[in-house]
Amino acid sequence: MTSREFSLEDQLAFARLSGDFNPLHVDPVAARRSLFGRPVVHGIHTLLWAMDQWIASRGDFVGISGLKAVFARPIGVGEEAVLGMHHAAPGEARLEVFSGGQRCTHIALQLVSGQDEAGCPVIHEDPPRATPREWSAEQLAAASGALELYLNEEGARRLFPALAAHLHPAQIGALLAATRLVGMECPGLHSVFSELELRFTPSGGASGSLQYQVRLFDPRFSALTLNLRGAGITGVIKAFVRPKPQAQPSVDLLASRVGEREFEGQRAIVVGGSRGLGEVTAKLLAAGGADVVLTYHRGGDDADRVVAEIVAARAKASAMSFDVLDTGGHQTGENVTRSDRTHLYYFATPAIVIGAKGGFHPPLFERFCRYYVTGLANTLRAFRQPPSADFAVFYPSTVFVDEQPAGLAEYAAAKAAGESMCHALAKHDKRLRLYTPRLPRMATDQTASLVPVHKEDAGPMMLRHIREFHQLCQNAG
Amino acid sequence: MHETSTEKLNQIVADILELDINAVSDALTPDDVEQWTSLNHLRLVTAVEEAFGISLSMEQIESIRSIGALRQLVCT
Repeated sequence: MTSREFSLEDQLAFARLSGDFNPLHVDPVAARRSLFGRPVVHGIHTLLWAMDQWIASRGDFVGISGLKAVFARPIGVGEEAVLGMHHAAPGEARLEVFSGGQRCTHIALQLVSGQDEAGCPVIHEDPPRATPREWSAEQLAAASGALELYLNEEGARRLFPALAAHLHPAQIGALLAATRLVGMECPGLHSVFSELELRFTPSGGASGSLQYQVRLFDPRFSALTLNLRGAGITGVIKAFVRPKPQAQPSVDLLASRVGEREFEGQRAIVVGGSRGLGEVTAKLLAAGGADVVLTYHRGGDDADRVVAEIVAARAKASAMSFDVLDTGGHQTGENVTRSDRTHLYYFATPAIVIGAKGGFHPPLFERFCRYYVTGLANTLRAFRQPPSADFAVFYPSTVFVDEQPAGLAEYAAAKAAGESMCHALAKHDKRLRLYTPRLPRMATDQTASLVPVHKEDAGPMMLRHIREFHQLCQNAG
Repeated sequence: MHETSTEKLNQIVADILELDINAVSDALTPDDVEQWTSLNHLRLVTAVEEAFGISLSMEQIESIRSIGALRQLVCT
């Protein structure tokens, strides 16, 4: 089996070749707020790599008359991708790409024994850089257009040497145009590429463009089916419009539920307060009179937005950069001034990736534990100053520890490990207050999905638990 | 339900959930099938709608928690 990781540099090289600079694939800060929680490899990048490896392994490859690919699961940038190859039947080849122990991509190639001259001419350079489009549902349903085929042959040879040597430039150009179409044009910015089917016929033509038309738009799922047509090329693409980053309730709305001085006296540090439940918590605490410092790792712009909103509502908040995984104590100088905190709210998390159902993937469990156990210990050391001071910790666990939904065993186990660490620490330290509620699913970037799922309202739910935590701390004296 | 409709539904399920046709049963749920992801759930629904000329409501789609539940929706 062949395996590799796709680095961000690999992704940028492919983006230059294909013209698909969708932030989901090349911008870690933006991608962390996507449905997948992290940057993911272009489906077509995976497809071309798989084909390149397969062609390199064959001495008898001549060409293809068509292909079908399904991009069933994303492959994260920096995560191992493993290629499996099968020669299914005469004239066919089947390739599969796995990651995290799960099948992510499967590809069926229709092989030919003679190389035909495909008709669509290509422009021999990288496509021009563009900005991904955003459409309304009405616009998408009627969308159509045309894309030129580009192929920088030298770039293609660097990334896919065997493929570039054997596949016709028009075929490679069409595959690159497909990802540019979905990621930049239609659906564009908030896209998920699901399936591709292409047929190549030996018909010539002067037209160098690939025309597309939305044949079907299903507003229930924001799902599209696009027809493709060019000289010597016909095909179908299926794609989705993925959910946008989840907005949280405003400070003004949350403040209407909170007493003005309800949390007065708390000097809170909200780790992961730039979005999601951390953002809601920061706003509720500030609205209730707490002195709030929220931290971020990469979401500086988001953190500034939350602080600005809180300050505009005449409450107190500031933001600081903090990496829960940094054990070397090399944080910013601001840490020195943050020895005055009394309450820690810990919302640091990696992307919550779904694991294999009925299985357990230790590397995934370890990744979660780095945040939910080690990261919490690091954070306690950083902010509980002096180490014996009275201190209170809000550690949000999950109902999944009880419910054990399929595919979330590693996540639930890591959260349970975090709970256990909290209880162990509190048992032997009477000046440390721990609160470890098992929270239900609420609307955040992490819980976004293509299929509607019931979620609790974050505002009332977090307020209830913040109040219980506050009461617990006050009762303890 | 006509036998041909049963076979047609089984084939759709087998293709999208990447199962052997003989492994398709009404008892199968998303918890049992690795490839029954949220994306494949949508692909299953749209493929069934296209093949049988039906249109399912969001409530019906959310109620599909097994192949048996899907088969009942197609039959009615």
